[in-house]
Amino acid sequence: MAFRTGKTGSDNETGKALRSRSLTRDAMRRLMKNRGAVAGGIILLLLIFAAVFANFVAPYSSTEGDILNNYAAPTADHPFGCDFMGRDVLSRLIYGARISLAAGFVGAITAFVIGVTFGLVSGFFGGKTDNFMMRIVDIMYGFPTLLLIILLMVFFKSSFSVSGVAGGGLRGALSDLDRSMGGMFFIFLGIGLTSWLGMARLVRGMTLSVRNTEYVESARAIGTSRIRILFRHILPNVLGPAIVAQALQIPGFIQYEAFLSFIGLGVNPPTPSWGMMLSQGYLAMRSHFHLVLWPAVAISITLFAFNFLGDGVRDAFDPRQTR
Amino acid sequence: MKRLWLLALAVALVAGVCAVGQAKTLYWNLATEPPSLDPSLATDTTSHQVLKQLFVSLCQFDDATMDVLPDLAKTWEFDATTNTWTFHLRNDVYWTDRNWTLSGLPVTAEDVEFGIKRLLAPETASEYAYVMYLIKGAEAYNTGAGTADDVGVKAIDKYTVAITLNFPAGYFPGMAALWLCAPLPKVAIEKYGDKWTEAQNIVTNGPYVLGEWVHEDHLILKKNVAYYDRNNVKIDEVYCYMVNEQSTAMAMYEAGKLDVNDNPPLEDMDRIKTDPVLSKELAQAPRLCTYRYGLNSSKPPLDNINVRKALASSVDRQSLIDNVLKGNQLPAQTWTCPGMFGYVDGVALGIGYPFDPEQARKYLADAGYPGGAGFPEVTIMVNTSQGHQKIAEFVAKGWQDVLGIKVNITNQEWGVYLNTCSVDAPQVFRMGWCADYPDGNNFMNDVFHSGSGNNYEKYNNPAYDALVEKAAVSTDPAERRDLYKQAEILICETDVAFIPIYFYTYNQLTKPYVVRTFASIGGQTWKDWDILDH
Amino acid sequence: MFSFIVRRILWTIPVILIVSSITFLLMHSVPGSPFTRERALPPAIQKNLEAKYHLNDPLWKQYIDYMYGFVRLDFGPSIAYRSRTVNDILAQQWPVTATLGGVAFLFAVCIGIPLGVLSAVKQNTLIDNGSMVAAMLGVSIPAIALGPFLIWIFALKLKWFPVATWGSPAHVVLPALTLSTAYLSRFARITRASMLQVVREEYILAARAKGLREIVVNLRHAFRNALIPVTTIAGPAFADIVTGSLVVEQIFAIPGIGKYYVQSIGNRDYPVIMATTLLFALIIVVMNLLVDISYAMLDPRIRYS
Repeated sequence: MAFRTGKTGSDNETGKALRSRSLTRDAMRRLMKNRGAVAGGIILLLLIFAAVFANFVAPYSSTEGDILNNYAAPTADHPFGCDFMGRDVLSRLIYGARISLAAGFVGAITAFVIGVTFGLVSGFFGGKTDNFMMRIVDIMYGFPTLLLIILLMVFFKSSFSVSGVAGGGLRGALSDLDRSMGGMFFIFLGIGLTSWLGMARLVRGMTLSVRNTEYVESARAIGTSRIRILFRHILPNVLGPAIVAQALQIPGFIQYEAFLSFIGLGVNPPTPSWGMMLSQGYLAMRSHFHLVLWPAVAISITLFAFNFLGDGVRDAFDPRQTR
Repeated sequence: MKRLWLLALAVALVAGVCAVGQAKTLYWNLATEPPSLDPSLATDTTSHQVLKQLFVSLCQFDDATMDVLPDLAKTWEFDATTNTWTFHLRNDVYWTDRNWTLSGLPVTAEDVEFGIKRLLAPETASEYAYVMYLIKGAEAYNTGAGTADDVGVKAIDKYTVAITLNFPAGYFPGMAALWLCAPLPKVAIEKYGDKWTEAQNIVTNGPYVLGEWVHEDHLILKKNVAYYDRNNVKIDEVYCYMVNEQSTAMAMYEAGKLDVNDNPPLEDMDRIKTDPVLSKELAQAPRLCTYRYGLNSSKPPLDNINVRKALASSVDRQSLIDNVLKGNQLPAQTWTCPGMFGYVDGVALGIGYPFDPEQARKYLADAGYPGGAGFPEVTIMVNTSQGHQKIAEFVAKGWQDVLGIKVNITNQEWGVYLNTCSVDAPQVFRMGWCADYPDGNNFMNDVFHSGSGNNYEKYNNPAYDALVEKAAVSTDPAERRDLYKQAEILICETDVAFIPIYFYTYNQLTKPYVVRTFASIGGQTWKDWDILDH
Repeated sequence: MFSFIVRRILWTIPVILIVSSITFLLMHSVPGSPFTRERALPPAIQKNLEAKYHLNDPLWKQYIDYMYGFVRLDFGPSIAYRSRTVNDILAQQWPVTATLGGVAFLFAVCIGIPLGVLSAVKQNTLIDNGSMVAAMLGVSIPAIALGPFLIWIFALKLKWFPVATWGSPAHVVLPALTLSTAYLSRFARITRASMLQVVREEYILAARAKGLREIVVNLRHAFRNALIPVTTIAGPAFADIVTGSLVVEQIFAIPGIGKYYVQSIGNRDYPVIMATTLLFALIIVVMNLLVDISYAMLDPRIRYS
C-alpha cells in the first residue's frame, strides 16, 4: 500500500519556480495531449460533480433504507444492490465520494499548510533555526507513519469525541466539530499531522534558493522589510510548485481515509465511507460479493484517475523527463 | 477352534488398523490466541475453552442440566458449625507432561491448596482472585493484610481438602467447578516461572495434554493417556486454529478445514438458513446473555421518564432480530435471560415496553416534545465493532422514524469505551451481560445494585436494592421468583433504567459426523464428543 | 566518509529517544488502562495488577525503566498475554512479518524491475503501454480493495490458495502479492523511466555507435546505470512494505507483528506498543541510513557536512 504520502517530492527541482507564465501555457498544452491524463481529469470532474451534487445525483438516501431489503442483490431498482440495512449501495457510493474526496483535498490542505509554514520559516530564517527545524523533520521521518496515525486516531477518538453533552472549552468545541462532520475532522487532523514532512523539505529547499536569487538580494538591498520579502517575493514563487507537488499526494490521503475507516478508526456511521463499506463488504463477501466489489471498484477508479492526471501534470510541467 | 482363533485375530487386526489409521481429530477455531493458559490468570472464554481440557477442577457442570457433578472430588460435605466444605479426592488422577515423563505423580489435596493460595497471592496479581473472597482469610491475604497460612484452605490428608468460608454458601460446589479451584503443578510452576504454560513445560491432569502451541497460529491438544476417565474420551486430537475473522472461519468450515464453526457471520445467515446442507448443520441454543441499551438518566433529555419510555417503546426488536441479527435471538423486555433462575417472561406478561409507535409518540408528547419538536439530539455510543454498529444504526433509524428525533452514533475503541461509560456515560450506550452462574442474582444484584461496579447506568433505587438483597439471602424459591419479578417491573417498567434489547442465542454449525454436546456456560466439553467415520 | 557514517549512526539515538517518548506519552494519554474490564475489577485487584506491572510508578520513572530495559534489549512483559514477554512475542511474530515483507519485496523487485526494463526496451509498443497501464492500476488499487478481490478469485472461486492464515508457502502468496502490488508497479515505472533517461546519455549512444548488439547495450550499460535510482528507493520501499504489512495482516488473518500492534492498542499493552514502534522506527532509520550511504558511494559529487 502506498503510504509514503508525506515523504516524496523532496528531490524536485527548485529553480523552475521562477519560470515565466508562458511555460504554464506550454505545460497545459502538453497536458491536454496526454490522453490518459485527460481521461483521468474527466473522470475526476464527474466524480467531483457527483459528490457535490450527491443529493440530486444519488437515486436514494445514503442513510435511509428499507430494512426488508437487507443484503438485496442488484436489481433494476438498486443496480448495485443494498447493504445490511437495506440501503442503496450506489447511493452510498456517491455520498461516499464526498468523504473520500474531502479526505483527499482537506487532508492535503492541512498537510500543505503545516508543511509550507514550516518549510518557509525554516528556509527563510536559515542558520541555526533552519538547522534545528530540519533536524525535527529528520527525526519525524524515523516515525512509522502508519503506527503513529493509528495511535493518534485512537487518542483523538477517545479524548475528544465524547458523546452526549459536550464538555466546555476547546475539548468540547473540537468534539462538537468532529461530531457535526460525521467523524471527519480528526481524520483530516490525523492525516495532516503525519504527512507534512515532504512538503516542509520541498518548501524549505525552494525558499533557500529563491532567497539567494539576485532579485531577492536587490529587494533586500533597497530596504524592503523581511515580512514583505517573505510574502511578496518568496511565497508566490514557492506556492505554485508546492501546490502541484501536494496535489500529487492526494491519492495517498484518500487511501489513508479508506484504511482508517476500514479498521474502524474513521468516520462515524451511518456516514458512508468507501473504506467502511469495504470493511463491511469484506465480512459479507462470501454471501454477498457485490458489497465488496463496488466500493473496491469505486476507490480504485478514483485513485487510477488521480494518478493518471497527476502523472500527466508532472510530465507536462517537467518536460525534460521522459515520456 | 483353530478357525475361531484365526477369526478373532483377524478381527483384532482389522480393529487395530482402523484404530491406528483413523486417529480422530477435531478441527476447531479458537478465534484468538488464548491470552493465558495459567488457571490463576486466565479470564476469557478462549483460554477457558482450552483450560477445560487441560485441567480438572474439584467439580464440573453437566452440559445439559448444569448440575454440579464430581470431577477431581468424588464426594463433598458441608459442616455448618464451621462453615467448612470438605472435598474427598480421587486417588487415580495424575500429573503429566506431553512426553509422559512424569508417570505416577498423583494429584493431591496439597496441589489444590497450592492452587487456591497461588490464585490469592498478591504477587500473582490474579484478576479473578476476588471471586474467591468468600473463603476465610482470602481477601486479607490478597490485599496484603493477611498471610497464606490464615487462608481457609487446608489439605487434611493426601486426598482430602477442607475449605472454610466466611458464610454458608450453598452454591460453593458450583464455584469449585470453576478453573479457579483447579489443583496446580507446583513443580512446573516453580521450575519455569511465567513460562510454565508453554507446551514444552506445562504439566496438566485433564483429558488432554498440550501437544503444541504455536503462538498466534495454532494449538494442538492430544488425548491424555493417563487421564482417569481415558476410556470414555473418544477424540484423539483437537487441532485449534486461531482465526479471528468470522468470514475466514466460515470459509474454512465450508472447505472442510473446520469441523465446527461456533460463530458464523451474520452476513452469511440468510445463505446458511436456505442452503440445503448448511441449514441442517446449524444448531441454535440459548446462550445465557442479555443485550441492553443503557440510558444515562442524569443527562437531559433522558432525565425525563417519558422520554425514556418513548425510546423504549420505539425499538422494533423483532425486526432487528429478523433483519439485522438473523440468529433467532429472543426479543427482551426484561433483564434476566431465559434459562436462569428468576427469569420472567416479560413479553408474555406485559412487563416492560413492547414496540408500539403510537404509544411511543404519546410518551414523547407527554414529555413535552410532540412530534419530536424541540427535542435535543441524542447520541448512541457503542464500542467499535461492526455488529454493535449495525444494531445502533437500526435502533437510531427506528427512533428517527417513529419519534422524529435526531440521533447520532459514535463509537470508541473498547478500552476507551468502558472508561467513558464508567466515568461519564453517554446518553445511550450498549452493554451485554453473560451469566457467571445460572441464578438471577448474577443479573439483578451483580449488575444493577446501586453499589455494583457493573452498574454503568448508575441506577440507584433503594426499593430495588432492598428487593434484590432480600432475594439473595432468601431460601424460598417461590419467594425469590416473586422478588425478582417485582425487581424487573421496577427497573424495566417503572424506572426504565435501560432498554433490554434481546436474549442471545448460540448459532453453531457442526459437521454431521461430529457427535457433540452443547455447553451453555464455560467451554465445550470435548471429552464427551466423538467423530464418526466420514 | 567514515565519519559521515558514524555520525549518521549516532543520529539514530535522538530519533529513537524522541520517537519513543512521543509514543510513550501518546499511548498513556489514551484513556483506559490495560485492566479496564466490562466487569469492573475491585480496587484491591487493580492495585495488585498495577504493582505487578509497575504502572503505579510515576510516568517519568516508567519511561526511564522502559528505556533502560530497551538498551539491554529487554522489552518487558506483555500485559495482555500474561505468560509471554515482549521478547517472546517479537521472536515469534517478527519472523512472520519479515517473511511476508521479504517475499513481497522480492515480488516487487523480481517482477517490477524486469517489467520496467521490458517496457523501456519496447518503448511505445503494446507491451509498453499495456504494462504501464497495469502498473498504474497496481499503484491505484489499495490493499484493502485488492486483498478481498484476490481472496475471492484465487481462494474462493479457483481454490488455488488458502483463504487466509499462515503456515505454508501457499499461504504467503496472496498476502505477499497484495502487499507488493503497489511497490511492484512503482519499481516498474521507475525502472522504465530511468532506463529511458539513461539510453539517451552519450556513453550509451557511443556504445551503440561502436556497433555493440542492442541487447548488450541495454543490459550491460543501460540497465546497470538505470538501476541507481531504483536501488535508492528500494531501501525506503522495504521499510514501507514491512511497516505497511499490518493492513495485509489484518485482511489475511496473519499472525504478524502489525496485527499484534493493532490488538495491543486495544489491550493497552504498553510494552508491546512501544517495542513495535521502536522496531519499525529502527527499520526505517537503518533503511534511510543505507540509502544515504549508497548515495555517498554511488555519487562522489554529494558532500556531507
